[in-house]
Amino acid sequence: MQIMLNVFAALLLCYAGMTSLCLAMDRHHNQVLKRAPVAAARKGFRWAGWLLLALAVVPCAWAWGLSIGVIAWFGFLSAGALALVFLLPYGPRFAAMLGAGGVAASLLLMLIVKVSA
Amino acid sequence: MKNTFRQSMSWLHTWGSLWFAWILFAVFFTGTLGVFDDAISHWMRDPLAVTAASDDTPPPDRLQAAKIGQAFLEKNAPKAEFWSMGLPNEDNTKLRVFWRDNPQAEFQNRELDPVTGEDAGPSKERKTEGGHHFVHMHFEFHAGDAGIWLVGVAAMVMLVALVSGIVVHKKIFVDFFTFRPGKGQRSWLDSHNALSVLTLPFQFMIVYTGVVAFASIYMPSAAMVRYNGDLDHFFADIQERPAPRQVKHVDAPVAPLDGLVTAAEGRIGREARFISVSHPGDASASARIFMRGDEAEMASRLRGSNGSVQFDAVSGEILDAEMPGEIRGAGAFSTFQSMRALHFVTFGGYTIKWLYFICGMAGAAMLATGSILFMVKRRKKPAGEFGASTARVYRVVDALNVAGIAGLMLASVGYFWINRLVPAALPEREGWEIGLFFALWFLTLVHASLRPTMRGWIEQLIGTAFLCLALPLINVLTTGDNFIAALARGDGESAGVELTAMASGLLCIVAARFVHRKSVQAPQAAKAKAGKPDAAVDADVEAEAA
Repeated sequence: MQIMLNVFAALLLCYAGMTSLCLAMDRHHNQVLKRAPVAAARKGFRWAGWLLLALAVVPCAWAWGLSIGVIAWFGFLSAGALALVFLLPYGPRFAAMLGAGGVAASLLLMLIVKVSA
Repeated sequence: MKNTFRQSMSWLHTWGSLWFAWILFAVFFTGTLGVFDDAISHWMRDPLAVTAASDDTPPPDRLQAAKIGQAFLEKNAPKAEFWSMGLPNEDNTKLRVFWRDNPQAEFQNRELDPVTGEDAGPSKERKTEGGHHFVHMHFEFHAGDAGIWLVGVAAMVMLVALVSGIVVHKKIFVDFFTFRPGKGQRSWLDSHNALSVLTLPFQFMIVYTGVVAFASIYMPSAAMVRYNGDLDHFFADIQERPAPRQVKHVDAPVAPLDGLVTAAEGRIGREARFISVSHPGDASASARIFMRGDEAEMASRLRGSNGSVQFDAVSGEILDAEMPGEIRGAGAFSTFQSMRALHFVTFGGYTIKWLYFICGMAGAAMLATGSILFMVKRRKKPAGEFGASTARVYRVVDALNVAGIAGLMLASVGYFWINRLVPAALPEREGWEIGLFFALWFLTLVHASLRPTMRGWIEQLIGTAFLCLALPLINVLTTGDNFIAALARGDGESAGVELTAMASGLLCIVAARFVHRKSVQAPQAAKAKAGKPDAAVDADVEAEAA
């Protein structure tokens, strides 16, 4: 059970991180929000994106220890990015909302893991 | 040769990859199925035919079992190349014995009652190549050393294609998240790029570690020269284990194995799992006893042993003891072990296997989209690379695409049907399974070369979809088992195989509908085209992928 919570947290964080990096780009920002990003938004999304991707290492390390966790992290990065890229053209707003929801959900999952440990 | 570096890389990427794309697709597709070889083998052995152990059976006595196994083997195979014995445990309460009289003879196996020694005959499990078929397919095409070399060359081509692909891909960061569906050639290129860029770390890792895993075959010269071709000795040395012992041709009885089990368990502090004796009956006999691993511990590490003890099987003297978690060998061997573990996913449990499955299928899809893109581009605007025979070469590439991609998928799911339909009692059954798999694959090639390309795609995709979706049905009809019953008894492996097959079947229907829509639209679109905004996109694609 613990491991599944960590797995979903890592996957959602990677997806959310990729979504955030994606929204930092003019083309995709426009695709989702129908306007060009202001400089601050571009910067903010970029920082948030890298932060979320880095944070995803944490549940991976909780589930498998750091050495295996990093390998799993690479897998989640790919899986999260693939999901985003093939979702984005069919439902840009939905893809972005899923990313936002993913941040909240993953933090909640990590909290549950910490509390129940 | 082309003018710029990028143009020559583009030429290399296109023409270098094309001829290997179908081999590599087969390697990726079957290798990815091979991630779940245990689950597939479990399904194929027909779990219902094997009587399940009831819960009230007392835990079997390993020492008693070792004694019974030894008595049986001494009687039935007094002088063998090797004996081995799988000791009973709570999951499998039978004692399993295996032996081979000499390297040319066949492997023998029996299931024994671990208390009475009653011979239950060869294993009741359906004799099958199981999931190993896919594993073997992906590194040797069932062609032995020739196959290993073929796959090795293809793997090197793949590494070249990955690097040249990165060079060719001008907008790797700008297009990082870009997929534009419904735009023909542009969409194929987008998906080819997205699949490869987003899983690039995995693709490099899996190909590179795959080549490294066979280093002793691809680059044997050092060991050949240093050890006079004796690779067993070479491996014993790098693993820091005692050297293999030469047969002495002097008769000597094997010491009581139950005593060795007690000694080994005392030394390591874990339960014995497996016993292996080489040249029993000879004075050179040695035995190695392997211990059970701790699953949680195995999931969180890349390398390290579960513990084992090697004995002089005549005197009973301990020759070597490897403690759980112990790492043998120097840095190079350690690195080698880690790379093997990375390739074979021996760590991390089911989650990591699924990540490998996703990334591996993405790799297969990358190869498929690449070779389809080659033809999509040329169908629209023939490049005339082969002069007068260009059309014929394109036709061959088209047919190989259909049979190499859809045909292989059809033959792979067909293999599951073959497993259920080939009579269980047929001699050499495993050979028939493999033979029929290749026959089916060959038939898809015949079909692909006879049918118009688009019809070929649609028919083979529909065929694959049907075989996938009806897999539970054929299972009910032949064995009485199905995924619902499997789920009810907590057999996630059997259920997982059928559920995954059905999900794949649905994807094939989506793919077939897609091809159908395209083949209906294409003639109309060609007429309506000329000077539409699409032309700008096309020019862009041409410039990029030229």
